[in-house]
Amino acid sequence: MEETKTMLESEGEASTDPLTTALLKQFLGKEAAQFIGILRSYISQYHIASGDEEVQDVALELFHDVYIEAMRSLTHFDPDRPPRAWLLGIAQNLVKRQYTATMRRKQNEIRFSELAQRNQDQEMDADPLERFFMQNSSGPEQQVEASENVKYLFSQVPQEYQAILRMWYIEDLEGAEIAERLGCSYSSAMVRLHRARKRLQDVILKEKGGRNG
Amino acid sequence: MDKEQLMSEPRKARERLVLAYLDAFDQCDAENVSRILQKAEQDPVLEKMIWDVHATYQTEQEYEGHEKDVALVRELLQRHVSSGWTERSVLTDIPPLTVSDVIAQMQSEAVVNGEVRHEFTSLAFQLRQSSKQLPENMGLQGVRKLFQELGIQASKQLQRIFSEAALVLISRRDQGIAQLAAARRQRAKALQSAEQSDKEQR
Repeated sequence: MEETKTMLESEGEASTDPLTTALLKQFLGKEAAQFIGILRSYISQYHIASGDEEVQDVALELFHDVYIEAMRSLTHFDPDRPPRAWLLGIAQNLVKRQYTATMRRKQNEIRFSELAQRNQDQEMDADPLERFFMQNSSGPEQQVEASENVKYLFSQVPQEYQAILRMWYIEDLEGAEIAERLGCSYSSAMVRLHRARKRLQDVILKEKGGRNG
Repeated sequence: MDKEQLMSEPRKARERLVLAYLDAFDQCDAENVSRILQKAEQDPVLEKMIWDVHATYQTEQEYEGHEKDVALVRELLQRHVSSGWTERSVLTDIPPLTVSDVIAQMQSEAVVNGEVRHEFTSLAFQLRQSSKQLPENMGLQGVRKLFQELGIQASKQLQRIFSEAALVLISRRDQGIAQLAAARRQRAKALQSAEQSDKEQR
């Protein structure tokens, strides 16, 4: 983390509020490793770089750019709040710009809004299973049928994920309760739940495809 | 949103947003990622949840990538450097690797720096005399299992460094075995031709 340390020591003088600058520097210094980790995942996900070394180099550059951008727009930042989401938002915008530039360079005019169109017909933040059953269960009979459908769909998901799906959808447990039952950390439980929902989404799409085809 | 409103916000509603954020992230749906991050800017609890869960997700993905690399290297070695696998009989000539060998390797190559340095000192103290043989799988899962057996708790970063050091040693040992096998074949050939020429002379 030597590069980030040097950077934090040498830049950010343009700020008008020394206390906020100091707080931000302190935060970045403390959370640099985790932040760079998240930046690495953005970079890999958007295919801006590939291979461990290249991804790490680009992540360090991005960390640097986020820092500069944060210093530039410090007036938009409320020092009473932790800056995580704000910094991630800046990183996301920078990645978006870089991605668009890379795409243009490749003469491929895919825009982010087009990528997002995949979700056009999906309700924002709606859960795949909740969405699926909202469309399929209006009366009591349909609800019984829906419950049978749930059982069937869960049986199609790999066994390792069935229990967590049951806890989330049927027992309506929260992440912390799931973590306790699984004997893992809260974050690990949420990640496992995310993976399980992805599998469930695949099963639902397959089922839909089967019915339509 | 004021503080009271935030406190009354059900946790599960926030968790749905965290999951929606990961969904959007996986689908490269930058619009939705930004939208949820904007909500998180107003909600420190949600913000912390996204930060922690994303960091764990990223760590696990890198960890899986590493596991896949290890499996691929093993497969390639099996396919292309068959001597390391086929000459099982010579395995006994080179002593099996132990946990203390890996610790010594980590110390001699000074591969542990930064945050885990202190953790390593304690690990080295506990394992420097361990004669436990290394299991076949020295990928991260294998290391995790080995540490469990030894009752050792170590961070993922240290487990990764241990795994890398073990793989280096295993590869060196395999090379040694291959060289030994080649020398044996050479010796056998030499013996054969010597016997042949003896017979001819007689």
